[in-house]
Amino acid sequence: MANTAAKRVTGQSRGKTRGRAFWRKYGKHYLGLAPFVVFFGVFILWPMLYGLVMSFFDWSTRTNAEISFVGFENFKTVLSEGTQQGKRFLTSLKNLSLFVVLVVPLNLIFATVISLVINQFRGRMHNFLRGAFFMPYVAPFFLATGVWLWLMSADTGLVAVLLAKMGIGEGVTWRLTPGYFTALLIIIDLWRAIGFNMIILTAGMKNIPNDLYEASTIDGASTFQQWIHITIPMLEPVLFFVVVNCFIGAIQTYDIPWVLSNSSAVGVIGGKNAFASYPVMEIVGNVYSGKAGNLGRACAEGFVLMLIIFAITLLQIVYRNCKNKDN
Amino acid sequence: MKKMKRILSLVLVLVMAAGLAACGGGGTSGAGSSTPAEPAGSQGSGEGYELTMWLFQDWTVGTAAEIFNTWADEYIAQHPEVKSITFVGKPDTEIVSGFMAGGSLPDMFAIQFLNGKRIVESANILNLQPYYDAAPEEYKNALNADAMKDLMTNPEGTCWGLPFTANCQLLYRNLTVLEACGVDTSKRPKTLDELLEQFAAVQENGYDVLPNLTASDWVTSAFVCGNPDLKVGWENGETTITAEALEPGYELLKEVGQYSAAYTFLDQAATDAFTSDKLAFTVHGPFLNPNLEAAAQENSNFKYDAIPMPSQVAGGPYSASYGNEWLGVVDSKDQGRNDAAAGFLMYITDTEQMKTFCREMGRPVMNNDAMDEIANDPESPWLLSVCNEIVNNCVNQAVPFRCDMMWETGCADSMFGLWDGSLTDAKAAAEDSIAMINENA
Repeated sequence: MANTAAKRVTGQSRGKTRGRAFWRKYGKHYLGLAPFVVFFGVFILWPMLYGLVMSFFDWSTRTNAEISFVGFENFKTVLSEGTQQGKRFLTSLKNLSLFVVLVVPLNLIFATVISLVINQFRGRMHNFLRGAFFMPYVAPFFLATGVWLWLMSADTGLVAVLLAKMGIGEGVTWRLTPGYFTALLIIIDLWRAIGFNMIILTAGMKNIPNDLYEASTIDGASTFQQWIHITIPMLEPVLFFVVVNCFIGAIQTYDIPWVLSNSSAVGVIGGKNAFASYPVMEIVGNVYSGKAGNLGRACAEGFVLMLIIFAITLLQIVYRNCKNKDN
Repeated sequence: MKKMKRILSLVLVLVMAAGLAACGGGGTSGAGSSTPAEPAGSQGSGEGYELTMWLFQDWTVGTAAEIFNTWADEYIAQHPEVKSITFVGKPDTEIVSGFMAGGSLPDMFAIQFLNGKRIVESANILNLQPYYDAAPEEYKNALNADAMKDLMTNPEGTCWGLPFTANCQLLYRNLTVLEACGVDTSKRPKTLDELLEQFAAVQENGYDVLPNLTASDWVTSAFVCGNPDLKVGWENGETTITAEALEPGYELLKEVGQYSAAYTFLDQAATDAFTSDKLAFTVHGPFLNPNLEAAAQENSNFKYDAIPMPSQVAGGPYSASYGNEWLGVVDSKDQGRNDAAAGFLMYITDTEQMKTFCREMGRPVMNNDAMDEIANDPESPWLLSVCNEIVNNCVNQAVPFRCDMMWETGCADSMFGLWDGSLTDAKAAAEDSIAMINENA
C-alpha cells in the first residue's frame, strides 16, 4: 500500500519535473505566441463563433427585444427567392460570381506579366517601376474610387471620353448601368490591387536561383522560354498565395461598389434592383436596418460567405496538394 | 544582445497587453448596455460632470464647431456642476452603429429623425417629457410642432428628444442658360407640367437639361412628392401612401427621363456643367450651394438661384420631402448627470441659440421663432428663406419613430426603372413600391 503511494508521489513529482522542464524549454515560445493567440481569439475567433451561433437566432439590436432560437430560418430567408432579402442576397451572390470569375484571372495575368517585365530591369529603374505600380495600392479605397468616378464620368471624364471615341460606352452612365458597372469595378480593383501582387511576385522571382537562367542561356533559351519554363514553374508557391489572396479579397469586395453605387446605410444599397450589390454590402445593410431579426440574418449571410471562402480556399489547397503529389 | 532581445520582447508584450486593456476599458458594461462613459471624477461632486456629445462630423469643424464650443462655454459658466462638454464628430452611420453596439455611449447625441426608431430601440434614451413639461411656455411654443409630435407620439407620454435642424431638396436653376432659352426666370413654374415645358425649351436650344438623378432615391423623388393626396404616415404596420398618389408622379418620371444627361448629379461633371453654363437645372440639397457660391465668386457671369420644386397641381404642396435632425440624452441613471445633459440641449435649442445657428450656418432650424426671424431678415443667407418655405409645405421623408426607412427608398427601384425606360407601367410600378415599403419598413 505504502509502496503504491510512494510510487504515486514519485510519479507526481516526475510529472511536475517534466512540466517544469517543458515550460523551461518552450515557455518563452508560448509566451511569445500569447499576444497573437489572445488577439486572434478575442477579435477573430470569438466574433466568428458568436456570429455563427447568432445566425440561428431571431436577433435584433433592440434593447428590450427577445432573442429566440429559430434554427435554420435565417438561412432559409436569405437563400430563398421568395423573400425580398433572399432575392437581394442571391442577386448579390450572382454579381459576386461574375466579378470573381473575371477579376481573379485578370489580376493574376496582369500582375505576372508586369512582374516579368519589371524583373528585366535592374537598379533604380527596377525600384522606380515597382514603386510606381505599387502606388495605387496605398491610396484609400474611397479616394481611388472617387478619382475613377471623375475619370469615368459620362461625356466629360477623361477615360470615358477616350473609350467613347473608340466606340465603347458612348453616352453611357458607367456607375448606373449594369454590365458597365461591373467593368468599372473590375478596372478600379485591378488598378489598385495589381501593384500589391506585383510586389509579391517580384520578391518571389528574386529567390529563383540565377544558375537556372545561366544554364538555360547557355542552352540557347530565349527570354520568353525562360519565363515559361523556369520563372513561372519556380514561382508556383508564390502564385498559389497570390491566387488565394485574390479570391479572398474579391469575395469580400465592398468599399468600391459601395461608393460607386452611392449606397447608403439609410437609403438604397446597390442601385436599382440591387444590380450593383455584393454580399458584404447586403450584410452591412442588414446590420444597419435595425429591423427585427435582421442581425441574425446578417450573421447568416456572413456565415454563407465564410463557407464560400472556406470551400474555395480548401479546393485550391487540395488541388495544389494533388498536383504536388503527381509531380 | 540576448538581454536586449528579452527586454524588447517584454516591452512588446506589455504594449500589446496595454492595447488590449485600452480596447476593452472604454466600455462600462457588456453589449447592449446604454450606460454612458463615466470618466474618473465625472460624478459631479467636487470636480463636476464631464459630458460628451456625438455630433455629425461636419458640425465639429469650422463655423459649426465654433458655435457649439461657444454654447458649451456659456452653459458651463452658468452651471458650475458641469466641468466640460466634449463634442465628438461621427458620420451618421457610425452614430447609429455605435448605439447598436452598445458599450460606451455619449451623454448627448444628434441624429436624423428617420433613425429615431433605431436609436430608441437600441439604447436607453432618456424621456425628456418632465423637462419639457417644466419648460417655459415661450420655449415650448417656439419648437416646431410637427417635429415635437414625431418625438412624442411613440409611445404617448414619451419625449425622446428636442428638434434641431431640417433640410430638403431644391431645384437649382442656371439663370443665364434659361434666359438664353427664352425662359422667364422672374417667375417660378407653378406646376411640374410647366417645368417640363421649360425642360423642352432648354433641350431645343441644345443645352443639357438635367443630370441623371437616379443615383439617389431622395433626389429622384423630388418629381413624385408634389401630390396633395400623398399622405406620409404609418398605420397598422402599413404605409398610408397609396399607389394612386404615387402614380401621377411616376407618369411624370417617364417623361423626365428623356431630359436626363448621362452624367449624374453627384459627379463633379454636373457641377462643372452647371457653373459653366452648359446645364440648366439640377436637383440637390442645400449642401450644394457653398460650391455654387464659390463658383459665382470666381466667375461673375455665372448666375443661378434655387427654387422649390413645383407641385403637380397649382397651389399644391411642393414636390419635395424634408428630413430633420434631433438631439437626445442617453439615460445615465444619474439624476444630476441627466439634468445637466438635458439642460444643455434645452439651452442650445432655445430661440437665441437657434437664431445664431440658423444665421451662421444657413440651415433651417426646428425653432419657429428663430426660423421666422432669420428667414425674414434681408441680411440672412437667401437660401434659408427658400428652404424654410419648402420645409413648411412638403412631405416628410420618413415616419419618424414608427418606421425605420425613408418611404422614398421603397420607391427607388420603380422610380429608377421609369426614369431609364426599363419600366413603362406607372400604375404597376406604384403598386410595387407600396408593397416594397410595407415589406421593408
